[in-house]
Amino acid sequence: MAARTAESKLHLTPAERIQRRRLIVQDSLSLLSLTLITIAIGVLTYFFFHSFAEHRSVLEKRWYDRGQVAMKEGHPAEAVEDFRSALSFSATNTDYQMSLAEALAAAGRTDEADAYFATLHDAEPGDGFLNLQLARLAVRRGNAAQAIEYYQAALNGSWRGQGTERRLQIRLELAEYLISLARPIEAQGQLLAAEGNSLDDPTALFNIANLLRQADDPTDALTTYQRVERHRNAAPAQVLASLDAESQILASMGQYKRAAQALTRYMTRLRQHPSAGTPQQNQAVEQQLEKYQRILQLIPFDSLPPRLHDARLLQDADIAHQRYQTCLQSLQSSNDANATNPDLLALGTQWTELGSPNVHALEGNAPLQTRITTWISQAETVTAKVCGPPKGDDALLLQIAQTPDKTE
Amino acid sequence: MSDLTTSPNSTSVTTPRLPLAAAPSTASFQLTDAEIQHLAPTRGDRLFLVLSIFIGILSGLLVVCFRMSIEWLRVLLLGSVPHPGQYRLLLAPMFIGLILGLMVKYLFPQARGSGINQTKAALYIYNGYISVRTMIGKFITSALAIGSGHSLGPEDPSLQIGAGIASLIGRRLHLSRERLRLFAPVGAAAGLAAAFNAPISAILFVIEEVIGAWSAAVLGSIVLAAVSSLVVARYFWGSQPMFTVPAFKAPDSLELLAYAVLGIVGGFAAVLFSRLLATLRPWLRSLPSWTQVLQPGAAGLLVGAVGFFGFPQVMGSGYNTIDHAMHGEYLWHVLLALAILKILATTLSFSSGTPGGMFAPTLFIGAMLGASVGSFEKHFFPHLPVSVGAYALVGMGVLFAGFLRVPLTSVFMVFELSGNYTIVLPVILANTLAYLIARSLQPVPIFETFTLQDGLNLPSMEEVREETALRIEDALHPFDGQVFVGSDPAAVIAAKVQEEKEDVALIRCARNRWYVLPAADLPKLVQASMPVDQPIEELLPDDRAPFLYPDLPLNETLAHFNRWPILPIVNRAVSGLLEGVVSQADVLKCYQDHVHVQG
Repeated sequence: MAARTAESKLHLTPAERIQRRRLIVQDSLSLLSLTLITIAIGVLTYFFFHSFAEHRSVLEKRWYDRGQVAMKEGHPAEAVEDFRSALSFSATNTDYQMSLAEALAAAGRTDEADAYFATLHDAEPGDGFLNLQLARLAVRRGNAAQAIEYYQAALNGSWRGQGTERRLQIRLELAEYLISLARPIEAQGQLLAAEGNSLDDPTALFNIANLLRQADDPTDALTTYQRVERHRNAAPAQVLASLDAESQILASMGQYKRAAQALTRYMTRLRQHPSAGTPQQNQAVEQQLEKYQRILQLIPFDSLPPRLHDARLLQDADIAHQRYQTCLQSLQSSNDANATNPDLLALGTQWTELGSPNVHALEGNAPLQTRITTWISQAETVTAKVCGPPKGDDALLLQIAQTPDKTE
Repeated sequence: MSDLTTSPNSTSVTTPRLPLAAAPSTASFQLTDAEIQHLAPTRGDRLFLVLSIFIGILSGLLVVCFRMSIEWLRVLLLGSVPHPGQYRLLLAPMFIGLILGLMVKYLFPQARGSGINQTKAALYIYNGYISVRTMIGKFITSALAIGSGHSLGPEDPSLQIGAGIASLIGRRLHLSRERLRLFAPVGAAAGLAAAFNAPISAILFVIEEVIGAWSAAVLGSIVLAAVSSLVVARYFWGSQPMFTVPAFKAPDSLELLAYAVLGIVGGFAAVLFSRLLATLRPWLRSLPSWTQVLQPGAAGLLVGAVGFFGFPQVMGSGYNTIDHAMHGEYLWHVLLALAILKILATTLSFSSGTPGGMFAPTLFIGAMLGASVGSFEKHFFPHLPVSVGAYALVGMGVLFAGFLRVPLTSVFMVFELSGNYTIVLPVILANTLAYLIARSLQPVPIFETFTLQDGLNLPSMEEVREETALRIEDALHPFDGQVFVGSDPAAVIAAKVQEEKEDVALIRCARNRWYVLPAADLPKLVQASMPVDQPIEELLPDDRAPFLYPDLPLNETLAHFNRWPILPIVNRAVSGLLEGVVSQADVLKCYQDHVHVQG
């Protein structure tokens, strides 16, 4: 304002006014030329920079691609250098940062990887991927508490549009880790939660079922295998594997009839999809089916008619007694010290006490039936211990003996 | 272009011929400064502001080109990513060093060194004159040096390039000598802001290190230029800060101890760095002249050897390494090794006369030390929530405060780079400790040491900043005589003055104004009184003593002693209340005493 007043108060002569005008024109021309020069330099800089940026992005991509190839080929140490190089051209690229941290972890540079991930984690504490990586590093360091904490954070974290799949994978990974820590109950919790979220995915269900078996939860494992079996999108191979697993679980529960039924369904499916199973696998299943069928012929189910039940019990007792005698004779003939094994000798005494049981003696005599059943179990168990593993029906009887609850 | 004459003893201390601006400023139709001032009194002010924007834009463009050139050269000479064991790490800095030795010796002698002292010299000695040749030389030689892996940074040369542009524009527009001198720091701020992507730090640095004091005359232009250049730089490079600083939380009180340790370590590191430079630089320059051509090559070979045998991170500006360190990518002992090697490499590169700046190496060393302390803490005290990035950031500020001795800039730089204010406490604590340690162990700041080594006598910015200004209250004393009022008759006053043998009569006039009447003038007033009891105020001239307050600078009084034998000093709160008086003798004595105490 003061300056404007000063200008307006100027008292100039006509000659000075001309000079003043010339000064203004000259300054205007100078500023115009300065503007033109600035524009010219700006345009040159723009093209120079454009070419420069293009070159940089080519180099950056080249290093990143090299790093990825190195990772795929299992050379994480090389990948570390490559990703670091890519990052030197684009320091803020999150993909590069993640890749570098992953490569560091894969290269066994746990401390560096941990530091890198931790720093990235500081920036994005809710990032699922970062928490997962940190969990894996904690697993590698043997820090179970921290690992589980990071796994949980990964489950709760953000996954940029692929949350459901990734969370399922993390639950399975966490469950596996918990199983390895001998914490099956916690693993079961994770697996059941995972199962609830993956009803449409037979592969995931199959994996969950496998892990449930490992986590000492055969009942839920069986249910899950059955879901796979019934799933319309399940691959034939998955169905066959599920049926095989079902039969094993059922057998372990003493449900040989259902186990055999599962294997029968296996064979039916196999006929529909011959390429789904390998010949060895199929042969093993056939043998297993035969075994179960034979077991079903050996077990004196309570539901059998009394006469048939008693006959089957006597048949088993006869098989077990033969095994006992064979075992004892072989031990005695070879002067083995086990020949005087008190348990073995006790079996002989017990058999003598039982007399020569027959169908008539057994009829309606529940205590005798129980004693015979107990004797068979002990005979197979003791002989297996002193004379080695049995074969044939004896092996099946031993298996029956080891199965607490047998149902038809 | 041949407007320089090189002094025989020094290549960096050169005396330009009488610069254009030092001569009477003439436009094309032969107008003198006074004539221009007469014809267009506001021309200078208006042009100054408009040209500040042009300076900013042009500086920004040139600095973008400068940084691109460095990157191109780096890829060309060292490969896109240097790795240990590559022979080019040994050969490139050595051969480029030899070329630089020749260029600095025969073509661009002013390009030697960092650029900050040259800009200060332009401001204080050469009336803002920086030759085009120096600017071009700085651009080419610094780009070659940094691109080939010499351990130097691009900021200080950018500062000089900006100052050079400003000087050139000022000369072409025939600005007055005063304006031309002010243009150098304006351009310097623009260049630095573009190179550093941190405008506040750039402005503060120029004020702290180049100008030495806040100056309202130039502050507006500096801000305009810095902002313009930054806009240009960000158009090309993007608006992201120079380093991607990981997020961190405010440290707790216990962690402040670790930051204090960082401040102490940084302070000693700054002293070590300064002493190495202060020792090696003059020694190398004292060697025969022909060796000086070879020195950049030899320094390049040694720096290259550091890279070749395992630490290529110390080569060049090292910004990528700072970024990696901030993300906790290195272990604490590696970081410590990098800091030590960088000190050695930079000392070699800079002392050999290779053109390039000290900003980036200072940041590098600080970041490595900071990250090292942070990583150490994280490794040995894993339960503490340590952010290595925060330590690296504070470490940069620490070295800035300790080595460059710009405490204010160092604090703001950290805020600007991090965009996070929560780190304020550690920054202030660590920076202050480093600054105090460096100051007590190395009283002369490094840039001042360089100017002294170069035979220049530039003002010490640290002294300028800390200069205690004398105020009127320092010379003030109570008035012993009688105080009169304007309604008193002259005869009464004359009688009293004569009776008390006073030299002056102090008269309080209307509207609380004061008049100091010499005793010798009283008889004339007594004679002029008509009637005899006429109030003296009616007889006094129209002017009154100026309003001066005790807190004003003492030099404010000096202009008034021609008119008034003593000056009444009044209270700011109670209008006209007399606090005391000062005489010319009081003021002089006060200055003399002050010099004696400081001396």
